[in-house]
Amino acid sequence: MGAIERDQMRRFLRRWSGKRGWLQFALVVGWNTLVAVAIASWTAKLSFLEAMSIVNLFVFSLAGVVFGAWFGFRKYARKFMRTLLLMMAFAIGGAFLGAGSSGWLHGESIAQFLRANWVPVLAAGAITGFALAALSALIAHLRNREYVSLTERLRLESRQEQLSRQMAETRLHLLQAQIEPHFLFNTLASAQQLAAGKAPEAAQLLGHLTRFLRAAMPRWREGEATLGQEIELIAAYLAIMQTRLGARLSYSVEMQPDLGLLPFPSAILMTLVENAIKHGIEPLKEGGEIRIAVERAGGRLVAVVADTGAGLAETVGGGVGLDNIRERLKVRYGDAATLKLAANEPRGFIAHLEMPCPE
Amino acid sequence: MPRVTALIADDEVLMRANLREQLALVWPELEIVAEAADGDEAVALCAQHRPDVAFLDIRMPGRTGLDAALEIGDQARVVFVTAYEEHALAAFEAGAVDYLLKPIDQERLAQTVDRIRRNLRQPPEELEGLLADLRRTIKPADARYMRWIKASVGRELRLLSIDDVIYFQSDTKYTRVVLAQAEALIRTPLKELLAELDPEKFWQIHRGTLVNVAAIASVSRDGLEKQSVHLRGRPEKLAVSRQFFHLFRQM
Repeated sequence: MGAIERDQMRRFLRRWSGKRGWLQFALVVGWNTLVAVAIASWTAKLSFLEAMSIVNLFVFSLAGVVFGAWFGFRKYARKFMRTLLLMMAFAIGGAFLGAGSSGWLHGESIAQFLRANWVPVLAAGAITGFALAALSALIAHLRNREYVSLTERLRLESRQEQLSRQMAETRLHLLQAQIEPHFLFNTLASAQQLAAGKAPEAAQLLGHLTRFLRAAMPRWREGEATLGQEIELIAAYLAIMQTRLGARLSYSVEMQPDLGLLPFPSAILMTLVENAIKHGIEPLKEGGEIRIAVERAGGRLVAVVADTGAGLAETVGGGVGLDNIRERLKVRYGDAATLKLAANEPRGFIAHLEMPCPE
Repeated sequence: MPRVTALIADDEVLMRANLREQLALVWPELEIVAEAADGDEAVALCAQHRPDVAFLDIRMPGRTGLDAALEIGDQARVVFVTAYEEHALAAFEAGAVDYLLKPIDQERLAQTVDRIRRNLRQPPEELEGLLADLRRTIKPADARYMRWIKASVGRELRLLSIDDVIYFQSDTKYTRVVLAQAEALIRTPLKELLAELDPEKFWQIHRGTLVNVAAIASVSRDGLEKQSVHLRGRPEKLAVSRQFFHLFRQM
């Protein structure tokens, strides 16, 4: 049985357990007794006791068959022949057992009785078995049809949900890709200052800014960037921050060169680097170092952003983009991607990102 | 003519140089007596040099420009310098606070300088109430609820997403943080966690237990007096105490 049937059965049993179930049981037995009395008074062939046991046997085995077919329909539908044969064997066995004991009650030898009556007993057993099998096949078929439409509906619903999540992801990602005004205006102010006295350096800074903007631009149009673009964006960003922060920032960016064309969810690494600057380096007067390394290891893409900045806060709210990264990784890779955030030694922060890596 | 002095505070060297050079053009008589690279230094240098005007960048290491202004404001006229403060600019305008936007525009700087010169005779305005408002608007509406938590896992100090936590359980001096594959200890008591966590996402089910609602697989009733929570991703059951039975009445 699958989870759905188990759940249905559990609900069924819960509904009928206790007083309510017993009441129903008593009702059925009472009804059976009435029928048995009617049969016994109608025909002299059967005593009340016999009629009673036959009616009860019939009703409860019917109930058992219906119950089995109702909840075990998937097995019935899969192994129909086996179920049919099994049911017929049981019914025939039951018929012989019943007939034998009835003969015995009437004071005849069982063997003799069966020898005299085996044809009608066999026929009765086979017909009953076949009828029960047909009934359960019908139930199983109907239930199976219901099951298929239910699972189809569930599948459609989950697909729908997945799609709406992906749309949400794209929206988030567009928000994320927006260039922070604080960063942009500060950089322009630096360029202005350099332009006044140190024109070559100003030109260099504007070059970095152009690279940064160009690497950031396509994100507004395409859903997907490459790892190479992401690294380009990060390199330009860090070059700009280096000009602005001077000796307070040192950094290195390393990527295995053959990874540049891999598709990569945009702005994820960039957000980690921005965090390292904003929450690691900038809060410290003496600054620190940022090290970025991206490599392929054992079929996985491993990216590490480590800084020696201010380090972990005790608790962190939702505003630093980490939730966004987590959510996007989950939508895209499920459990196949991990983002581990830990304290660096002796100070600072390490973000360790791992995801499946297409060859 | 009396001597007028100023302090410039910004953590970026280029920004300080920029402001200094532009001020030299617009207000040649102004004497820059000190330059600070962070908020704490700005406060210390102000106490030492007693400048008439303080140009404070808002985002700085240590004390922010706003925090520094609280201590400097009664002795010097404060001019805030900022690249971009989405929410604060309106407050600046409304409160008649002097402020400059980076990159600095010379005409705008000239206006600001004019205003300062005119008001130099009067004592600096009371900033306290305004600064309190400003600090609220500038502080990002970041952390309504805690989203990440710092905890030791094995020998590592990790930042764990609240969503990965299956339950918190108080354990004498510490609080146990239980994840699907790991466990950690933190010092934050359950009571404090309760105040910081989103009540839709974490439920208290026992005096010592907070459980992630998303990690609840089922609730079983063992007789009238006992209920326990079964979890996704952990084998153990958690006891629900009577006073929290109401949480599961609908389930």
